[in-house]
Amino acid sequence: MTKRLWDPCVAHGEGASEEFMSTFFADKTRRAVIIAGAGFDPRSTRATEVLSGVLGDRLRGIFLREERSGGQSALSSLGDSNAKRLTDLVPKSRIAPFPVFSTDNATVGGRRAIETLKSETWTDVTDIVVDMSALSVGVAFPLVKLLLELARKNRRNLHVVVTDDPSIDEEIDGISSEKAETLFGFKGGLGLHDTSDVTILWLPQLTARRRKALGRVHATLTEEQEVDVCPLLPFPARDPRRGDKLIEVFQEEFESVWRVDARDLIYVDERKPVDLYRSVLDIDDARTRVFRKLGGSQTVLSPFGSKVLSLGALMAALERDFPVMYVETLAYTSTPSVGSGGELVHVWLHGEAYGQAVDATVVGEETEK
Amino acid sequence: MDNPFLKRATEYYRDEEAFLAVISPEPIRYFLREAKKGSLYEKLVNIRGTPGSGKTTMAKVFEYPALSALLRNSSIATYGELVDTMTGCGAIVDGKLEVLGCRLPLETDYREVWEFDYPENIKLTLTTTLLQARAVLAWLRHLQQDGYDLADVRIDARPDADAALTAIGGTAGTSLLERARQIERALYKVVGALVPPELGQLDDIVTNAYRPFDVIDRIVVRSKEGEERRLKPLVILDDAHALHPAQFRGLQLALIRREIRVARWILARLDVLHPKEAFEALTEDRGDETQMPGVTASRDYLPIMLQSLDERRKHRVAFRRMAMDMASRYLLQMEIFRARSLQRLENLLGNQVPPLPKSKVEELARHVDAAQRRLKISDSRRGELKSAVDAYTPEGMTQVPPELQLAMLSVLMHRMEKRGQAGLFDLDLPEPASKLPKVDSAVLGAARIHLLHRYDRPYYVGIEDLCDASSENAEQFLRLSAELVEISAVNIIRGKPALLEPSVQHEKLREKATHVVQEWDFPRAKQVRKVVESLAAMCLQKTLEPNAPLGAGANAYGILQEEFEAIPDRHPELAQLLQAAIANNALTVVPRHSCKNKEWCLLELGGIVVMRHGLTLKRGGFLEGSASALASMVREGA
Repeated sequence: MTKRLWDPCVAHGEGASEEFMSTFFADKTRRAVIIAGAGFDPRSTRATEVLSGVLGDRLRGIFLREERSGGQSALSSLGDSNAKRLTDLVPKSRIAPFPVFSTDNATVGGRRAIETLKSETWTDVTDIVVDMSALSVGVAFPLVKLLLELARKNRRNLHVVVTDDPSIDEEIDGISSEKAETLFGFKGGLGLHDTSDVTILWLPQLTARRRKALGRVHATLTEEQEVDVCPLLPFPARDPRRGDKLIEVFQEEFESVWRVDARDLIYVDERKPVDLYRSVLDIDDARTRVFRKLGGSQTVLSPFGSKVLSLGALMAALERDFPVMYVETLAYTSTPSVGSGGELVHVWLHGEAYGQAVDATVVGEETEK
Repeated sequence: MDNPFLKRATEYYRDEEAFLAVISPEPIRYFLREAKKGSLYEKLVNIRGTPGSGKTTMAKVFEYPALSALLRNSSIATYGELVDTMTGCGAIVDGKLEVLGCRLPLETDYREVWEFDYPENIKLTLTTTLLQARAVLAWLRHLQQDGYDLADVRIDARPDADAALTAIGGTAGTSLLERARQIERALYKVVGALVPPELGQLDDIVTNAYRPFDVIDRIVVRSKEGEERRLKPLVILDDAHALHPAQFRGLQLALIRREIRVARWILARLDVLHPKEAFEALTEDRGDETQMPGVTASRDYLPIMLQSLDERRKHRVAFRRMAMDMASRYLLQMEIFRARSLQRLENLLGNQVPPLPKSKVEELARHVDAAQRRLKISDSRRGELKSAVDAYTPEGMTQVPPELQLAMLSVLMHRMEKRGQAGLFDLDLPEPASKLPKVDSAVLGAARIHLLHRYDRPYYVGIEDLCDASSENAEQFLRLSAELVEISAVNIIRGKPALLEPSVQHEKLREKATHVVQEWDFPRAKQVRKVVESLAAMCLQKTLEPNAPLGAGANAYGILQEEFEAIPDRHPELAQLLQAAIANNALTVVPRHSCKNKEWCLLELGGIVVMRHGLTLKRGGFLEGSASALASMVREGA
């Protein structure tokens, strides 16, 4: 088995994330930047609250405001108040608004998010923290990919945090874009002539609200060839029946369209992104061996639903350059319950924890003076 | 249970034979064979249709693997019609393949090129270069998969294309493939980069003159026996609506040039057009007439609209034929039906609506009596009306059931009232025959729909209603049929008859329609849903008027033609909403409908909306409205 990037992985959950952050960032030589979503999601502010409490003025922030037309005005007001709360928490911060869709409804969120960081410098920080909680997948994935490259190049620590609350992920509803497409920066060779003979394994993360969107991904993937489907279901989970409920919802797809039976189901721990990451890589390793002489195997991910599991999918995609197929949300239509009781999950993606020295000669404001 | 009706026709089939087995030749025959045979491969062909109208399926039949499989199996009787149709389209000549077709879905990669910070001409060059490289790769891949060695493949180049020939890798199959792969890889790297390279850093390979469409005349293949065939290359650009509008326009202009020898088709949805262009296309029924300088439809390109707006009756009949054919092919895929020789969907759908229970008929009779008293209609006049109803026997019916007769009588009495009935004791009416309202199919239609709403009498029954409710959209037809087929299969498993009672069909179709409308998931779906539901409610109100002025009722909203044409300029928001509704089968535009000496443009509700609200599938009944009223409905959130 080839060595994996995040095995072992430094990750925290179930209450340990806050403790880790409180001790790790208490070191006065650490300066950090948090990049988070300033949207309607009640989880928007959680990680920033923890970090600002520890780092104080050693923290600066870039808060991304995803703009979509046609959503509820109530959601926009929630976004405004979350944005205000975030800038209050981190005075050295800026709000960076950008459209997720162009005027012709093409998905441009990932590209625009990256453009907002174009002029950003990283010389004043030791640590970059991305809070994925209130960022859409189409924005968070390319962003983390870019920041991972930057962290490697500039010798910085890169952390990703998510406030885990699957019930909020389930509650958020919206109008899907009509197109299933690979995420910006996550094409993974899909569609190239050189990969036209590979056998595709699709690992969709299921969520009831995005049933149609998942159907669209399947329809797009199956236009050119047959695909094997192994849905990812949450278990263990806070609601132990969540997986069973999803099987009920997707019964028609399983039986008549995707041709999935009980042997194809993959259960992953709902609270541990690393569990999904490892499971996906194990499956990919096994298939790579089997399909080596048959044109190869290509694993395709579709991280709908739980943000924590999406983080695991992101790690797997970053490591193996898996294509990620997704259907972006044109506009959100439901208001999730206010006040998140979810817990913080932290994954350290790059830096000291993995033996990569971090450039400690940061140029903070005080140093400049 | 594996239900093929739930599977998209465009989904991948393990082998081409399985794909061809579910293909009905009807739409190809109807839309393409009618076109001038040569034009399909000479000019640019623009094909437009709503989602699920069969664009991709049609394109897949013209791809080399499908055509090749068709010829391999041409001796099998079931393929005979398709072979004949494809011969009619010029894809097969003298029993041999004439065309080497490939389909390139434009949903991926290409639109991203337009986001680069480069001048438009560079972005267009990158788009066309990637397209051309992929077309070459697809043609060669199809030939390789069919067993040809690339050493036996070459191209016939245009005589004046020496320099361009070198740029595409020469005439040999192997070098052509290698060059196209290099180009694709280089462009893919640019498209997939998180931070695209500066213009000056673009690899020469992607900006150099790689233009195989300008060079290739024919693709020549030599069989193992040494026989050479000169195939006409055809590229089908599918889902072109995914491109940026400026990119789409640029691509069309690039492909419209007559010197290109490669046959090229562009398939897109109607909403790829600017609202103004879409409205013009809709009202003039000319496919589309994109505003390109110096370009004229029919001279420079061939427009084909998959939902034809003229000869609607003919088109509806053609769709029914195609849908029934398609359903039979799908049924044959299901062992449970095949084993019982149940090969026709229409044979599973019973259309004899059972009589209403006696108590309900009596209740209806009391209602009619009460109406007679309220309307002050004399017994003798009622008797005359009843005799007219009794004497009426529509085609296809031996006798009109009593409940329908009663409901017809009620409609007629209300019509009498509207004409100014004299009074209860006015027995001496002159020329009663001329005063009596006419008993015809419109009155029967009104009676049927009134009974639907009053007693839930099954209304959407039988294969024709199923076809008509599909808005001439193949995918919608399959989705609706899937529900019915599933229940029929379950009946068989439980040892019950496969035939579905009208009440079951009616109930399931309405349930499905409600579900579909609630689940609409396309841009502006929420606003579209609100507007069409408001329009449907207004139509229902008109439909249920006791004198049934529109017979079976209304299912459309009429706007004067000139007002409709001005919508993109005067009410841009409404124009965009209507475009989304039309593109997704929520509404259909019926232009230039003459009524009351005026020319109307009807916004006809889609079949799904019609069923959800219990309206008639019969066309023609509409509410007179105006563009400004509709625009304020949209502004006020319907």
